[in-house]
Amino acid sequence: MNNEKIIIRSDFSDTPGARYKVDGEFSGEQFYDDLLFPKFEKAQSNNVKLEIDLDGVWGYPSSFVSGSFGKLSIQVGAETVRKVIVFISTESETRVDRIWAEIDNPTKK
Amino acid sequence: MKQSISVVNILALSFVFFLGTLLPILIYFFDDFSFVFEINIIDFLSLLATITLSIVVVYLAKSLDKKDIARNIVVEDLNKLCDIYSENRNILGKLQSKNKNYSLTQARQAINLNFHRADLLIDRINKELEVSFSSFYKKLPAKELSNQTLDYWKWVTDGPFMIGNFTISSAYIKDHETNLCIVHSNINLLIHKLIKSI
Repeated sequence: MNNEKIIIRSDFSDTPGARYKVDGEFSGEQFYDDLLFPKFEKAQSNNVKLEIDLDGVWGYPSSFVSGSFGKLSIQVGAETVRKVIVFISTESETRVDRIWAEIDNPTKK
Repeated sequence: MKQSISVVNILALSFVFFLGTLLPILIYFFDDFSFVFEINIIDFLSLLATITLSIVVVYLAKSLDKKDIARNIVVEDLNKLCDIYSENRNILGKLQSKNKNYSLTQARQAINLNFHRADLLIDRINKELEVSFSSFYKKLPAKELSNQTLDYWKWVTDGPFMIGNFTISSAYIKDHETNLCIVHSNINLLIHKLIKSI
């Protein structure tokens, strides 16, 4: 069975927003509800990976990362997230590190 | 170009060496000098030592020169990183001026783009350190530069600025200035550590 995939720039937005839907368009909460959690659950139940392509995006605000990936980590645990999600980024290693840092130590807001 | 310069250096040295060797032979054949072929061992060893030292100094100077160039490139990039973060100050200033043509959304996108550029530069600096200062880089805590800039990224992009009804104020500008100074200090400290390690 094929891995699940999310290409953020085309499936969601190339300008991610803030944490909550009330804060504006393309929020972390919107990404989590519409794409991240459903695809994560599907990947987990089918025992495949969820590949997330981070490239082509003009910066990821910490609020977006926290409102989506951080929230996922709080929901299912960092270890489970690490077992399922694979980040793809040829542009920046630092960006991937920042997201994993949030997953490993999610901000609780 | 650099390769051609070192070939020129070698040719020049070789020319001087052979000239120094041939000249006495030419003088011997063209003049009435009588040479004393007794060699003072101490003088001979001094000559060898002088020649060896002159070659070693030339190559040592070249090696230090390369290290200086690499260090300057890394320091320049670390200063560029500070400049990118400082651009956020200008964006917030533009927002504070209540320019009708400049919205909060535009300011957020501009600041996110700055952080994106900063992360790309951090990647580049890490690679430069790994290549040119590998022992220094290995001694640094893992992801040091990324960690030293993490708090500033979080403060700006996960703080009041990202909340829907944010209105910029003097208090926010002052707090931003404080956090900007802290990240500059962290980066400058890394520059000092790098210089000290050389």
